[in-house]
Parts: sequence; structure tokens; C-alpha cells
Amino acid sequence: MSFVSEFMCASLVNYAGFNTSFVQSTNSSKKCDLLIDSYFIEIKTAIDDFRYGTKIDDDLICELHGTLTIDKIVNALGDALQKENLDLVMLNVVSTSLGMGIVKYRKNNSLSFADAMRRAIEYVNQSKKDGRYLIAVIFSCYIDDVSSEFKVNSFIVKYPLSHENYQVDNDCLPSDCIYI
Amino acid sequence: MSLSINCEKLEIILNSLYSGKLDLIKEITKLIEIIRLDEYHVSIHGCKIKVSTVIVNHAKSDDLIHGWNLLESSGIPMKILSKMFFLNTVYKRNSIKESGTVEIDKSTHVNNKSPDIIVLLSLCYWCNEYNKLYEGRNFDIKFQEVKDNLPYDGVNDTLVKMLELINLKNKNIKGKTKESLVKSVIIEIQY
Repeated sequence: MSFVSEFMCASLVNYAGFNTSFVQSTNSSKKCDLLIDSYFIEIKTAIDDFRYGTKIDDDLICELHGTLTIDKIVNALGDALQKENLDLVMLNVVSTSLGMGIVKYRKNNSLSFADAMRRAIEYVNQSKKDGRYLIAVIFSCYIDDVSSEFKVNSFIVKYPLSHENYQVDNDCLPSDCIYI
Repeated sequence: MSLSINCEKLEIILNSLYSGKLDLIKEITKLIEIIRLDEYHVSIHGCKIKVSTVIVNHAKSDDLIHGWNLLESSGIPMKILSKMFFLNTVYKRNSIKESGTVEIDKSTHVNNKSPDIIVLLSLCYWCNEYNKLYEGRNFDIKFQEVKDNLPYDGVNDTLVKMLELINLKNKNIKGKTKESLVKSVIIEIQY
């Protein structure tokens, strides 16, 4: 049910002050999901298996590297890279240990969704010049069972791209490519 | 999120299921409709749900009901889907021991595994929200994709899972009773 993420994301983008619309797909080429202003966005949803999704690493850096480089996520990014005119990936990680980890370690001071979007677009503009990175806004929305508040935690990752095959280089994700 | 569902009816259904009686089917038939209880609550399959605590703070019952109607009027068989998603919710609640709730600290508990029926309700809500925010712009593009890819054929998978659960909980149910149960559930789900 990745459609839930897509409709939700389009709405969150509107709340953040951007304008968006879905992109018409065709049989002949793979299109991105959304056009936000003039940027083409692909939305992905990552789901861990049940146990892993609730087991959080002991520190945020381990959690970030552990989850952001698992095959499932790297494959999802690889799939996004096949889309025509891709500028930015939005990755919903709510059902992963990272989704929980970011709440645990940064619940009161992660980037707001609107800030993450604005900064990500700046990085996209820089990245278009050299093509060395794939920019991803990683986000996790949840409702706190205690306070019943809806919250969105976001951060940005610049995934290094390998030039040979234009794939995400998951052996190399330096900490300075992660902006929380 | 799981705490927000009134589970009384779930228990009735489960008890019927474990005992091998067909009361399950009657319960689901009686409680099939999504009902607006008040501005903030809906009932589906007899479970009372506070909309703002399972989808988003500002969500209200009417948003959800509009979304449900939007999908239904566009040809999506919501009643079949909702029965299937509800049975999956019942199955998972009883076959997976972990609750999915993570205690971040004393003031923050988060559940990252929405029950299946809540995922379906979320789809209703966010479809309606998009339609409202963008006045339906390009809605049909994505909506056709939703129609083409919803798991209509998941009914049989759901039934297999439910049978596993029955076998697990009640060893005394014999083959013919099980067959009869499955046939009845198939008829009930598909019509």
C-alpha cells in the first residue's frame, strides 16, 4: 500500500508550502511520482521485517548507517534512479528501526519537513552541476501513543553515486553526507 | 496506534473463530459499514476508532467518510477490501506476539506497525486530503494506479492465514467443518 505514502507525501508537501501534482506515467518510460515546483520527485516506502523494525541501535550514527545502507533501501534508491528526470527521492522510513531511532535520538530537534524540503532542493541544485550525489529526504511520521500528537521527523542524505554504473555507492556513506 | 482501537468486538470474533462456529461471519456481516459516530470517531466492523489518533491530529470523521465514499464511488469494492483488511488485522494481532509499540521514553510511545484496517482508512483519508488540497488536480492519474494495484486477489491469502490461526488455536476442528467455514467466509467476503 505504498499509495498511502504517496498521497500523504503530496499532502505534507502542500502543508510545507510547496505546490505539487502527480506525474502521468506512460508505458514507454518510467516517470517519477510527483512534480514539486519544477523538481521531479520519487516517493519510496521502506519496511523492515517486524523484529528489526522495532530494534533500535544504541546510537544514532550506527542506526543511520545500519539502515541507510541495507539492501532493501539501496535497491529502492536504485529503482528510483531509473526514473526519468529524477531530482529527489523522498523515503518514508516509518516502518523501520531508523524511523523509531530518529524519534528516540532526535525527537525534539530534527529538521522540520518544510526545512528539509527547502534544503534538499538547494542540494539538488548543487548536485545537478556535478552529478555526484543522489539527494534523499528521509522522513518518518508517527502519532505518539501517549500524547496523541502527529509528528514528522525529517533529515537529508546525500548518497554518493558511483560513476561507472550510476548506482548508489552503499559501501561509502560518509557521515558528512547526512544532515539531521 | 493499536491502543486507539476498541478491541471488544475483535475478541468476540476471535472467540467465534477459535470455537469453529460461524458466528464470525454473522458478526462481520452485521458490522460491515463504516459509521460516523461523532466529529472525531468512526466505527468499522464494530471497532470504535478515534480518527485523529490513528491518522493525523487534525483528521475528522467526515474527512475519512468522504474519502471512503470517494473510493467506493470510483468503483473500488471497499466492503470486500475492508473485510479482508480487517481479517488480516485480527490474524496479525493474534499470530504476532510483539505489539510493535516502542517505548522511546516515559512520555513517548510509538507504534510503527499500523493495523491493516488502519492502513486502509489512511488511504481513504489521504486520498480525500489530496483531492481537497489540490482540487482534484491530476488525482485520476494516481487513482487509476491505486485501482489497478489494490490487492483484490488477497482474499484467498487472507483465508489461508485465518485457517492457520484456527488450526493453531483449536486442534479439534475437523476437515469438513473447516471446509464449510472457509466456503462460508469466501461467500461472505465476496458478496
